[in-house]
Amino acid sequence: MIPDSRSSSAAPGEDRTIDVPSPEPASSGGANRAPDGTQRGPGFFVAFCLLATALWILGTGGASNVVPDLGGTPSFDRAQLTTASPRTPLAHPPQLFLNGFERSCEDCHATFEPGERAAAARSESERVQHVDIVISHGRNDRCLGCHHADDRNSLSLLDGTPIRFDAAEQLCRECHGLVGRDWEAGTHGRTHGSWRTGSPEQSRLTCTECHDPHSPAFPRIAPLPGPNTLRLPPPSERPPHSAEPLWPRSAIEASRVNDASRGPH
Amino acid sequence: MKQTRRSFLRRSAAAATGLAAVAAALSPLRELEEGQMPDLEGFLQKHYKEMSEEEMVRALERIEARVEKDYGVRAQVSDVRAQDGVEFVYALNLSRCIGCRRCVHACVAENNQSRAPEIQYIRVLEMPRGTLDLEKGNHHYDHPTVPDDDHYYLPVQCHQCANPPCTKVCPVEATWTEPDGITVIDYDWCIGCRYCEAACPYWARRFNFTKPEIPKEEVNPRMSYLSNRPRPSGVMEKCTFCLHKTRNGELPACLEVCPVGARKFGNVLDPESEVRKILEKKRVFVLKEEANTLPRFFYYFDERYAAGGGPEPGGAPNHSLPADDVPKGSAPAGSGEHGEHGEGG
Repeated sequence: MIPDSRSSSAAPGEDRTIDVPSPEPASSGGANRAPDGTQRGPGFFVAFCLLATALWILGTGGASNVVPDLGGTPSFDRAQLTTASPRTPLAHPPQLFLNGFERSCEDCHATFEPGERAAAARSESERVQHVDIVISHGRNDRCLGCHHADDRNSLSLLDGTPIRFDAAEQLCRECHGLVGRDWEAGTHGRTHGSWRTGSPEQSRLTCTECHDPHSPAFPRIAPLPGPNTLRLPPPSERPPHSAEPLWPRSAIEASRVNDASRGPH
Repeated sequence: MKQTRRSFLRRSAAAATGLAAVAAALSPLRELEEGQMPDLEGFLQKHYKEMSEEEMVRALERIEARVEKDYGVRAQVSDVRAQDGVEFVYALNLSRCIGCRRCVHACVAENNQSRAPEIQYIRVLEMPRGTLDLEKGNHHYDHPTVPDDDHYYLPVQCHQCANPPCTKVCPVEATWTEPDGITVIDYDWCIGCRYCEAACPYWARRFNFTKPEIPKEEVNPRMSYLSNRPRPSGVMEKCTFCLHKTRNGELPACLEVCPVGARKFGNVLDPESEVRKILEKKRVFVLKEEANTLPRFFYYFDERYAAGGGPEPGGAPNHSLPADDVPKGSAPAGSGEHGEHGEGG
């Protein structure tokens, strides 16, 4: 290695300057060197200290390449980062599969007598059909609160006007007026596509594309992994401010031991 | 002048020392991986604002080549400029946010942040109800499901201030505010002094301690110079409102993924925009208003009142129900924190 040969060739020079007591003052030492020979020895000493330091840095430079384990984000299902709307919009009239056939609501409900139709306005505990539907909509806990009594392929406004299933927001805002107003102004709900007002790419989701009309509360979901800050434990595990050092003393001692075994840097 | 043995040794020792010192000073370059040394043209690249169109084209080609070499991905790097008559503003509805952290990870996926060490632009603080003291916020919360009844959630990211402290402290003008209100960084001009990180009152800036590590299959190939191209080691980075998307009319990634629609984005100069309506009609506030940073990131609440007409009791079990639909008598224990609202009404 080249640095080694340099240091070995320079070493005798250092010895000589110390041995010889200044025979020729300032003959070839250069303008920046003091004229009296006594300065020469320490000057060389400083120079060789610098040289040795430089060589040492060069020799150990690779050691700082060691990268500690930097952690990272715990894995999670990336399908959770979907930008799709949470629910499919209601179709009009609603289609359902019964025994392998596609049916509309009225295919069954048209066979009911008018008296039986009224009896369908049951509470959850009295229901004998559609028992899979969980109604959790506050006080609005009867089917006919939203569904039309005489035409099951429609929804019903409070005054009995039938409306299409894909225009359900007209019905929702009869009770949820504040939110309906916010939704109309764009301050409630999800907007997709573009921020440009009136852009053809912009679309605003309707009520039932996020909320299940039978239990409209947004369900609780599992959060994705928290940050891996590598610095601080969670607050519950941190000592109070100013009472103790941020890290437990044992951790500091352990890091000192590690530093010592790794050598100075 | 006569060359003596002594003077020869002295000179050669001085020369060797000098050479070794130079080598030592350059030795960090040995730690660069193969091909990480900038070529001469890249080394002489000008500041973003001073590059001609031709120079920018060449710079973008260099970035594409570097991305292909480092990550094995053929990327499309563009330079999207601000549009006239547009000033971007963000609004976030604290009544809706459930703290699910979808925004955090959608941002990481969109903006090619380092996975290890982890860099995230959005920090979701879980706050006790009834306070805005950020010191009480916890971003390490880990409930099985969110939202937690006793807390609300306060996502914090770059506020794109109109009076930004971060750009003022930069000693090399590597960061500045664009005409559409987005504060950006020229990653090739940043020297990594981290002054801006210290100056930001919202903890919005991040430092690349290492070369970002991104799995090849997760690299987003749609990049731009000022936003999500992979950053080199030793520079700052920050949220740019996804300017490669938003300057093309699209919405930021954090907004698109938000399952509850708590995030709103738009052009505040457009009187019909959603954000303008929010600023006009909603109860809006900014974080650390006393710092006079004039953020373009606003938080707002929905007006919701309990049946009795008073404010909603703390710890309503459900974020999406109107308050009068909340089952009575089921107020969780956490409401004791807000003494006067707990009972009655």
